[in-house]
Amino acid sequence: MDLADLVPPAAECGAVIGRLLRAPLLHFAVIGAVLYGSQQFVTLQRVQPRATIAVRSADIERLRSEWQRETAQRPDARQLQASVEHYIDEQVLLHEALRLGLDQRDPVVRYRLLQNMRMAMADAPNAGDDAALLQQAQALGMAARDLVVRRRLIQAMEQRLVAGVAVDAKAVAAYVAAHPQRYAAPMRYDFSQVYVHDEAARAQQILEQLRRDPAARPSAGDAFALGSEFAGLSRAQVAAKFDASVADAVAAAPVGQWIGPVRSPYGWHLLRVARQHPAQDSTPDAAQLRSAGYALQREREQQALHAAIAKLRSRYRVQQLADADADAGGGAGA
Amino acid sequence: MQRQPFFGDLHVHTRYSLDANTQGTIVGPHDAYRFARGEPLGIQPYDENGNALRTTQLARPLDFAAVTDHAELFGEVEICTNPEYVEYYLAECTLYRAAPEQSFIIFNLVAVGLPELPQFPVPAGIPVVSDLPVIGANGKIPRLPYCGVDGQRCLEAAKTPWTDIQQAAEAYYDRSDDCRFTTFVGYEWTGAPLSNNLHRNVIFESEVVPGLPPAYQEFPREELLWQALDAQCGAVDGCNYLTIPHNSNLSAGMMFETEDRFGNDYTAEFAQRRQNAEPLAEIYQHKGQSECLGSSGIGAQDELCGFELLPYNNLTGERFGGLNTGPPMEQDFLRQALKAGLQQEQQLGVNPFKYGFIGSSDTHMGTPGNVIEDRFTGHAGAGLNPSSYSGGLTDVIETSPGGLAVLWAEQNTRESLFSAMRRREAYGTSGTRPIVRFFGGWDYPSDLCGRGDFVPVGYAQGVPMGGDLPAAQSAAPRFAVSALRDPGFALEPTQPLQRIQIIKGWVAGGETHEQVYNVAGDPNNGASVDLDTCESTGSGFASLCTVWADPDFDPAQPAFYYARVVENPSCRWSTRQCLAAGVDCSNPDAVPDGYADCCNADTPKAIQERAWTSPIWYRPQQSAVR
Repeated sequence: MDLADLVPPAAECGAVIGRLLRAPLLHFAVIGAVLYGSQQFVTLQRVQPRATIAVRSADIERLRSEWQRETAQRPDARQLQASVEHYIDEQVLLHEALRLGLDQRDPVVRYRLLQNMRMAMADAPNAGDDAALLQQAQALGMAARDLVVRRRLIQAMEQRLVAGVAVDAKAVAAYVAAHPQRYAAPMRYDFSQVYVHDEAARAQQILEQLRRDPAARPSAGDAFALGSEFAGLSRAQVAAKFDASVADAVAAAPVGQWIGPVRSPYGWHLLRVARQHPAQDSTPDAAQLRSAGYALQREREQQALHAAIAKLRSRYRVQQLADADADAGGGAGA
Repeated sequence: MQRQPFFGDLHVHTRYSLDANTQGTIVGPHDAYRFARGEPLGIQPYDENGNALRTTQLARPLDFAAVTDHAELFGEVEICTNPEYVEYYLAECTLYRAAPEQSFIIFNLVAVGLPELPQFPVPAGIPVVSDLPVIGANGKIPRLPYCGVDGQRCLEAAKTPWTDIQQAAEAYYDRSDDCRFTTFVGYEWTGAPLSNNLHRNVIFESEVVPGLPPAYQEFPREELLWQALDAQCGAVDGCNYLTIPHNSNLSAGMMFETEDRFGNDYTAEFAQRRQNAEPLAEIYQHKGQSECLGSSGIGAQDELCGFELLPYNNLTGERFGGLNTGPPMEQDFLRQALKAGLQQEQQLGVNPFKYGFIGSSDTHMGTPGNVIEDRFTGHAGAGLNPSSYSGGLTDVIETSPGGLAVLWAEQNTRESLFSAMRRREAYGTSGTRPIVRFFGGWDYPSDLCGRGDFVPVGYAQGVPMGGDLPAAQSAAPRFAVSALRDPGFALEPTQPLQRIQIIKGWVAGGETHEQVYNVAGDPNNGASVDLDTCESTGSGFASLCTVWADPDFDPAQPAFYYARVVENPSCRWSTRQCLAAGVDCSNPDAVPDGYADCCNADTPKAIQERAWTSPIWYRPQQSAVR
């Protein structure tokens, strides 16, 4: 149909209009407008929710008891709400995975579905036919109901959403600087100790002997399972092995002198710091940079995932249902 | 450099084990390692800004950890579904993998007798991590170097669980001189025919690992697993592995069978392969202890074998009303296996069951080292079924928080720790952190405990835990054992030591025997715990030490010796939770939901935390020398 046919002829300026209607420029403009309009129409279609995610009171009850199981406490309202939100996120991922047909492609999912179907329908005539069984599994909505399949699909979907996350050297350097507890080196100490299990007085005697005659040391004192020589320990590590008082004494000791006796839960300790390794700020080597790169990448992936899920969620309608209203289409059965 | 004890957990499940956790665990390998390092771990749920509403943190960080997710569900989708790969890897892609532990009943009752796979060729010239640039093209972190049996495969493939697990291990391994934390790449081979547990954790020494972990579906018996690992790892430069069996207590007699899968007796070669692949066994974890049952006849009355003993013999547990299980069996416990190993050694010249000991958690919550009785949150996995939970105890009452692996090593690096595992200089604990040294030799001086050079003399005149006694140099071997109590920490009150025992097993006239000796401390020290308050009373020891000579030694009898260090009694996790809930068993109607097991008289209320050292073996000289 020609566009001109749509316009009623006018008496006075019919000829002019007729010319205009036949002008290529106008044709172009009108066609453009039609295309624009239909695209708008399609876009409107797209923002219609892809599906409704139902949150039933049974789901909420289950989330509540799972929380309690893991924490031995009942969740407060905020905690429960966050649990529900997480549940919805997972449902969105699950719906997306199914929409993309991952349940038909993922070998783990296929295997699991076939296994379930064979278990359930051992006597069915087509029990040997994978395609038929998978079709039946799909018709039953099994992918959304089976815990293993569900978790696998969610995981696969998450992996798709974070693919392509990258980091650069500058960001890694900043990350290292921001995590000194992981990448900076605290002050460390090499030290010797002599242990006396019973009394301070005997420890004092040995200390005086050590100060006079350092050669006596190898067999001085009592057996101590951790031994007598310690290398490269931070103050926190000394505290974990002995206790805080020994760690404090090591940190305060002048290099090369026997000090003590220092009390610990085990008895008495005489200490001699041989060397202090100064603390170092974060100037990581290549291996540490790579480690930090992986850690940062993981953080970025988490952020990317969070953002991607938020975007996906806007395409679904979430509906809270009482159990009586819930149909099987919620897809998320426990 | 003197060896130091390093504490860790070699059995950790995260989100990649599909049986892990309940609330759709989002704790992944990265998070698990950060938790192990002592960093606070935000756990779900999260608020609208992505901030965790809960955090959890270890009071004391670990020194090392290995995430060991079930390999059977890694399923490398991207490889198998990308048409460019499918032709190349068709065999692999069509051999789908096994079900997770949670479905072990279905799977293992159905899937028996799977085909064996031909071996893949092994590539040469694998680059190592240190050869790679820090930042690759386009700002991407370079993928991990070793991409399996065909080196190209995963260079192109997208991220998969197995590569994420490797990256996490790389991200949190401290390669600096500080050596603060060590990770190991690992996985769990989840074999359990008919629910009889043969599970192994596979631990790799370095970042050079197979492209896909050999799983149960393709390699359905342990010897096939070792074969696959030898081909895919052992034959590759820089790749070393060991396998650690766990929960032999739940194998219904299978873990320490003295036959191969065809029913043939062990040969020397077969025994040697097992010994090489498995220097260690997990003696204690979430699903109970595998040390001893305490029922093996004369001389074997060992009341401490009642510790965290599960009342069934396979993974089915109490499901199906106990129909697919039976009572625990002596041959499933390590003490009995060590004795059977001595018998095998007499016949074959090689001991197939030469196991040192470690403990671990088997957490399915991604929380390595979360093993203290107080505040036990449950480990999920084979524990409580979440869908039936409605408050109450946080795990099935007979399960346990699990324990720790302790390795004596020069420094906290993969090489050093792995060597310690190989030579079995290792011990397991039930979750606390006592320090234990155990040496065996022939001429330790009797006054060694009163000397400051106990450690150097221990090494110079004998062998540490996990070793073989040198040739006899006197009438009886002597064992030097020294222990320090766990000093505890702000949030982790601990008990002093009660005693040290040495457990001897031996073979005489073809028959096996065992004897438990109290060698230090005082079994009757009167220490106890008030079960109504969990308050401890009585005194114990901050340290214990002795040099003990075997009074019944016969140089003709092969034997092993290990030490067990026992703390004063304390409340079991369940007792603490029952107490906190105010359960009163004299009024059954008032017991809150989920706490009925508090009144179950079969479950002990108190425990004695402990450590088990790896054994030291004695072998008569006249028998075949290997």
